[in-house]
Amino acid sequence: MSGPALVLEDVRRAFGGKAVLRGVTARAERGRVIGLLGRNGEGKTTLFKILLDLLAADSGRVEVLGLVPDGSAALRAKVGWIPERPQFHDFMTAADVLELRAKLFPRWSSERAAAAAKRLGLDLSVGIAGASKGTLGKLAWVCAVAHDPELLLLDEPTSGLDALVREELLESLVGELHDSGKTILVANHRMEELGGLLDEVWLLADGRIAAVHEVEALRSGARRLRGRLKTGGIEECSALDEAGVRAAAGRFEAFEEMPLPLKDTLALLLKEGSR
Amino acid sequence: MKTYFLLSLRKARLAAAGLLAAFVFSLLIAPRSGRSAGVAPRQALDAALLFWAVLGVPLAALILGGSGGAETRAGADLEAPLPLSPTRRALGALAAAAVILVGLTAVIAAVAAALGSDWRHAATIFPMLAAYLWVVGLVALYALILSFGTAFAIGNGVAGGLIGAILAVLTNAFLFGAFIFHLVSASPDSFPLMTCICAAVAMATALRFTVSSARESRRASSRWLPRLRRGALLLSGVAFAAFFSRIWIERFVDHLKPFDGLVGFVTLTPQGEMKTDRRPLDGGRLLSSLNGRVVWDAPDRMTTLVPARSKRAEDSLGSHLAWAGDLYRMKDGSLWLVRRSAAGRTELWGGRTLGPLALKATLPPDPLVEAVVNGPRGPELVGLGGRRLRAPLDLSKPLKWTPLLTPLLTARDRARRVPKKT
Repeated sequence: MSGPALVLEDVRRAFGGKAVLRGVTARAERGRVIGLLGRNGEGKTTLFKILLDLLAADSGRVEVLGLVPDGSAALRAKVGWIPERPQFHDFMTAADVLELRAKLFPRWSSERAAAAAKRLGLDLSVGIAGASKGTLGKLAWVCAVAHDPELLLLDEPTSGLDALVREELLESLVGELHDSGKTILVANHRMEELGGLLDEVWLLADGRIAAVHEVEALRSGARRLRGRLKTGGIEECSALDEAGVRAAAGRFEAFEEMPLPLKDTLALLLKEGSR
Repeated sequence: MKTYFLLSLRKARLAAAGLLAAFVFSLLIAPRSGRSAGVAPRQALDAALLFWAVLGVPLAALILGGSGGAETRAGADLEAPLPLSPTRRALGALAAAAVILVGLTAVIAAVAAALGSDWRHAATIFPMLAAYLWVVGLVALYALILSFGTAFAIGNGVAGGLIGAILAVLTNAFLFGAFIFHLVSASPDSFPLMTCICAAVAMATALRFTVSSARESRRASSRWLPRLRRGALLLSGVAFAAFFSRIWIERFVDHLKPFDGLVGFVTLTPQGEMKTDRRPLDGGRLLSSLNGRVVWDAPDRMTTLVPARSKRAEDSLGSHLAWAGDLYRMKDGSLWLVRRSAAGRTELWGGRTLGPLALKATLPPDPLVEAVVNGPRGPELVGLGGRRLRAPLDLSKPLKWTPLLTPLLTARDRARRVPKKT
């Protein structure tokens, strides 16, 4: 197990003439937890599908865990995937879903699946047809981790889950996966929930990875400034790093500086990225 | 693939159950519907079984293929996390649809054998039954693959089914024509083999189209070149089958040409009245003359006396039809009448227009003389003796029989060397 988990070089993909990805270039080392930040429609799901070998890039180079997505779907045996809206065959029960996957994934562990289901409070006898969004979300999690994937691609993984389950997932399950060296790429509108686990953030804007930020640097560098303006009046502003702080400070006669919460940092990143 | 095949069987269970229910329901209501239409319940049941046997199975193939193809395409997101390539998914689902179709056909055949009156005698008409199975099997399987592939490619079951139906009809019309030729002619060519090859090529291209569509489904929908390539591939199968089948059909038409001199079927009764079940093939009228002769009022208004009633024929007349035969007019103006004698021999009567016919020869039953035809060098006899034979109509010496159709390639080569006389 060596080499980067993900390599993307000038990846492009269009739908019906509309370019969604316009040259994505990025690289993820193994064992990292990466947040994929981007506004709606920026191509996060498209990027996930390319990494999953569900869609082919129009051009560019893609490598996932050392494999090139070639339509054979071989790499999906090594990848756990949680889509934004998990779907399963509605004539099955949750247990049927797991049984089907046990036959298809070479490294599937029924014990691991049962343990994850128990941990998330998932009733395996529930039928898919009448299952709630939360139940489907839990089932998607069990399916994503039971084959011991090397890479997890999580597209809004806590969508539809209640606060308790979200906490269990993000603080406990994802933490364990991180600790066991899995690479995780996650797109989440509540990215801050993963705050303690994130290693870096990719900002997807205008069909490209506009910036890559180390979360530790963001934590230490991002500041909120509050002070009296030279022109009079009180104002509050935020800056992502030392240079931004210096630039903003010039406007103040006097100001106080405080750490910027990660949630606000990410919102600021998104805002700046969309400019 | 086995896992996905079993999954596809489960996914298609509703379509299969619906078709089975439609079959059972049609059998239940057939006797009552028949009664209200004035048809005997047994006949109505037979008609329903015939419908399912001939049309129902190909229709079921289109429905199963169309719905299976569209569902497999639509299920790409649902089954996205599974480590299955689009090709494996498509082939697994297609195999499941084929198995369901075979199962449904087996049920129809079993019910038909148990309930259908004609089917009970299937063993006695085995060649026809084998022909039926071959043709329906070919049509249904090809329709299944086509409709599955097109529905998968465009992601719509109804449209895919319709396109598949059109292409299947186009292809199978030619193949079916070739098959009919094989059934009715005594050609030396290996028609089942050649037609099977055509069908296999058509099916292989349809299958290749499906696989190619599955592979391409990951790619951008705006890529026209691959689409055109796949469309051309699909149509090439249709064209291939059509091209080769056309050759058989052409030969079939050529095979019929010898009968172009046939005027009609002539029948005399002891009273000298003429009866005919059909009009003369090239126009005119058949009349009975006052002296008991049959008269053909030809389209060119030249009235022709046909057979002179023979004393021998008169002696053998019964109370019903007694003197009958096919009348042929040759390009050289001669008239020939072929009739079977009571002893099973063939009488050949000849004459010319405006003159009576006379018995020219009595020929043995093997080869059985069927017709007098316009050959390239004058009238010829066509007979059947294992295969179809021809012989120049020269009664001054023993008839020299040669095969009417030589193997295809030889015949075509010869056709190239010897220009046709006009």
